Amino acid sequence: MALQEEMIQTLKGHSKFASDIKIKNCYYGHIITSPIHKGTFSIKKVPELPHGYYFITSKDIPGINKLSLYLDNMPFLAEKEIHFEGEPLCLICGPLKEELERLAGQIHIEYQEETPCLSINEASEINILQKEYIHKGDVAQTFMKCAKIIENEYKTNFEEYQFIEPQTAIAYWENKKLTVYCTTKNLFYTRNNIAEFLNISKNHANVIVPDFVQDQGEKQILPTLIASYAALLSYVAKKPVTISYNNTVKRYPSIIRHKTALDENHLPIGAKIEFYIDAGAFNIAYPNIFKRALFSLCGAYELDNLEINAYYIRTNKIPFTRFLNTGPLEAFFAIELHTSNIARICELDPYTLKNSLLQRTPKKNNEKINSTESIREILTDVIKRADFLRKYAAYEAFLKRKKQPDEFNLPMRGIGISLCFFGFDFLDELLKTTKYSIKLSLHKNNNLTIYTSAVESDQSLKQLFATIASRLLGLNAAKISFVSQNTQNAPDSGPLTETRVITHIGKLLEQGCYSILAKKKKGIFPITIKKASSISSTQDTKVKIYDSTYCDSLTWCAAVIEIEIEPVTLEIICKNFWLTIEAGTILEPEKIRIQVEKEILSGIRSVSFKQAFKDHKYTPKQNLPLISLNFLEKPYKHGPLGAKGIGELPSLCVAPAYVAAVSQAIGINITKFPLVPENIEEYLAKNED
Amino acid sequence: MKKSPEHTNIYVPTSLKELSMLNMQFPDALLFAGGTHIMRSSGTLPRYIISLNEIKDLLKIRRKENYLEIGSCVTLSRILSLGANVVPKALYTALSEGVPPSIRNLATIGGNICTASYTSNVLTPLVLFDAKIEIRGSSGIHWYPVLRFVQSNGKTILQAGEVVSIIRIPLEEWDVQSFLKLDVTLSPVPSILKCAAAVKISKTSINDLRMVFGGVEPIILRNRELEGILIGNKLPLQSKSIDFFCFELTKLIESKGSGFLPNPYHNRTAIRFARHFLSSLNNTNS
Amino acid sequence: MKINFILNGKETHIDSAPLKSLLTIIREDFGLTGTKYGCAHGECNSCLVFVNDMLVNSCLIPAFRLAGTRVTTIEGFSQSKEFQTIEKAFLKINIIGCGFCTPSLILATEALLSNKPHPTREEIIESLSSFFCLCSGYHQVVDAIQYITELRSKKKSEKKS
Repeated sequence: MALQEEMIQTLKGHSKFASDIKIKNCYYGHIITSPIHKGTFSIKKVPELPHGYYFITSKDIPGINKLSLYLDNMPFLAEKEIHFEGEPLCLICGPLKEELERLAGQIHIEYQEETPCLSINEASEINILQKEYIHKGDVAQTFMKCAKIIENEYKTNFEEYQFIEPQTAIAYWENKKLTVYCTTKNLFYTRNNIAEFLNISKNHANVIVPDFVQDQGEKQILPTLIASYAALLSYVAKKPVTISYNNTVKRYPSIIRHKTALDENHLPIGAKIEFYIDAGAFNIAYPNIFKRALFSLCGAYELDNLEINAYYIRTNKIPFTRFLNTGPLEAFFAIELHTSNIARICELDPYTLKNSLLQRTPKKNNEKINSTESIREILTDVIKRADFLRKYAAYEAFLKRKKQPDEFNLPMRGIGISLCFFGFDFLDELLKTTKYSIKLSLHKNNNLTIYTSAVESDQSLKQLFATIASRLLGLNAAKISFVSQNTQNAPDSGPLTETRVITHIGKLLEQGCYSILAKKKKGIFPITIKKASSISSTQDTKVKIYDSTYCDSLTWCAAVIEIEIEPVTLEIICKNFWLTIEAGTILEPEKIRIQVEKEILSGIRSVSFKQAFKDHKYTPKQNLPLISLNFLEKPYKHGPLGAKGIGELPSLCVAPAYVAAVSQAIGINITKFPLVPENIEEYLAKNED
Repeated sequence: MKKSPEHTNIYVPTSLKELSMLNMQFPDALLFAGGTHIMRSSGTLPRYIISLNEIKDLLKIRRKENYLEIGSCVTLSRILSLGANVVPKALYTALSEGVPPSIRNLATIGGNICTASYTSNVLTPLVLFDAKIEIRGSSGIHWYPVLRFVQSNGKTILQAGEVVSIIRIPLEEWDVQSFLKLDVTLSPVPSILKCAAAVKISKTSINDLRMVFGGVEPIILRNRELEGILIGNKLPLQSKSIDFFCFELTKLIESKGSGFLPNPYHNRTAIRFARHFLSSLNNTNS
Repeated sequence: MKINFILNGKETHIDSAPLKSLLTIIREDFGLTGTKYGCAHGECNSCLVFVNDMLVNSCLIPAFRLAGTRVTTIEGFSQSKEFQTIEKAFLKINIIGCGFCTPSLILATEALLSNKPHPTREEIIESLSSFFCLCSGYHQVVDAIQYITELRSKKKSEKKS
């Protein structure tokens, strides 16, 4: 179906999500999960099952009971050991949902509970999944000779958001071939794991993503698990089976300790960073949270003397369905807030400090220096548009005049700034060497079909690819169609992550279009082109930590937030938001604006701890901030038509700028988020004491 | 979701007389108005349900010179459609705040009152305006102040076989009104805060002052002695008068125990609300 | 319980448990999946429909209340003239996202504009504020609704002349 037609069908309510797909005589599947965090279990008693009802344990798995993860393995169904609360233990299926729940309640499972590790603070040596030590210069000397040391511990606390759309998988077998509908963001990963799980050939398993999928967070592990269960139950029951599972996307607490040595001019000359991030019970395959966090720990800043100790901690918590910006979000929160806090303590403005810390060492390659210049440009641009320096000074002065926080009965105001980058796909080992491909087919009537699993049901990516193809080939973008949701028909283009899809797969698309143009002259149709490569062949993947400004594939964002604290309720109202983004060539400015706003709102939700459905309400009082967005366009030579993906970048900027602004408003350096009015009150009360 | 027994009997009377007969026959029947509370809660429903939505007398709105009478099955959106010039401002704000339009189209004022949930927005402003409720039952027709009708969270004085028919809201000329609602954020214990205040100013003096607070248990807090502290005071109010009022309010809230506003943040916000409301009167030209 | 009502303009009758929700009836008995099953609790607002031209959460309407009513789902509304201006605006401003709450958003837009043909920005935000949409930005939806009011005013004045 052509793109525009898809959109019209969505508006008319014809879009089918996984839970909308109905198959005749479909059975229901039910997952029995662990109520304990850690220990062992044994199934003592299973009730006599009526005809048509089946009970499955790990012993019934025909293939391998291991879901492949990066540097880790997780069982599809626990065999004896329990690793986290909610870990799937066994399955039951049958024709009636209510009966399944009744039968599940009669299954007697005995648990031997062990002491779990549920937080970083409870962890010991055995919980360290990965660790990294990085050292540069002479840190010990620097700290001995410095004029001042500023240290803080930054914390990000637990967050959880619910999807409205439940995770659903539907599986059926036809002529010994399996078809599974599920909401995965990595079609081939899911298919390959199902094939191994069931001990069938990959060619006998077809994974299909429905036309429409609610897009939130990491969606690889859980959809794969559920799809595998549905497939197995369908195999056993010899009926189609559907399983639904309500899940949430999570962020676990992290701790980042920054200790910075300053010289006489209050400029940082050395730093020690300690970083702890929670992996959950297993190291999920993608994204590589730990590496991404490591890469972001120093932000955009260069220090000659640096020591990093980073730890990835295994706890007994659900490992899957994490926010895609997990890792960088925590790291940027800490470094950006820390530099803002240093500025406040030393009575400098944060812009001046951050600007002075940007990459200073001149490099031989002029291209590398240009990256730093671009970053300075976006920082300067956002400062100017937000009138940051004047407002910052004004709010600082006002704060010093007030004796009581609510004196004058006025709202408290503050302004904060942050600088972040994004685009870490080159860090993920699984992606670096794997070849991914795309296929294009142009027909005589100028209808183009793009075959790629990388866009799946994502409308915005499809639109972008259509824009690229239409510009290069002179076609009507609305008439371009996609084959993207089916492992049988779409080539493996890797996981659906925006930045990688845009730069890597988008680049292959661009190359494919040029090949079509060359072949078009011959006049033989249809013209079919296939392009394949690994990410390292199109992007610069050899980068070091704290070398971020040398990495051209990154997209950059400088943000300023102005907030106001309402004097009665102490609610934080986000008044204005300015961003300047460098993301190569901006091919679709209006669509990017929508995406940026979405990410900003996501960032605001995170930092202000809005959890349940009702808490997502934005009242006029609370305000949606006025967003002023500007782009600095510098064509990226490895991106399609010079473009780079923005991904979750704007959401990374929110928390540090927001918390810095609140810190200024109340005159206290805050070092954690989320921030809710109760926290503001606690801080103010402590200040009074 | 609600579980229903094997045979649920639904009755849909079209008059108060019919309702009265059904009530006598099935005194433990569930009275179904908007259904927003019933359809959301879990548990098993009783065998008999009486739907009130076809009874015309419960759907009437009468505006008299000194009061507004609203049938108990009138939806919140119908009340709002009367406009902010008719519905007292604090009540108008309470009806629209935190309630999406689609829910307002279903939820009824009577259902809100009879559910007597601490989450309801409606109770606080009704108490502020000394609203009264008409109850019909086998013992006849009686009027009660809303404050007396609601006993505690989820409990009212309504007996089996009785129904709330009318809510009467006095219409008075208030110079300043305010309503605030705050939900819980971090607290693991259910907590909520509603504040409603209204003042009449006559020749730069406070003629009447009312302040009502909504919490968990008790649901409503109103104290006429507290309100009386500032009645008769001249504007602008002195800061020590406001301080004294807030001091007494703090004591009053503490006397209700930790169950009223379990979250200390709500506790302190109630005081800030009072202080802010009273301070803002100094900027009012009467 | 036998219930007669009008669904998307057609007279319909069902035999249903009296407390079965309208949402379940629409999706399972009639296969109209444009109305989405979200929280089923009246909070997420993905199950909105019109009942007697009033916007309601279909998960909160029991079957027994349907007798004699007119129910319009997104599938029915999309056949109307009013839908055309909404479709035009949403396509122009590109408000689609994943599409899960889009049908409800469209019905809520129509409900707002039926009551207030020229809402202010604040009124638009207030009416949308209970939507649980994680895909799109709010400002674009506000822009789209303001564009719809322009389109409708234009059509009206064209009709008059």
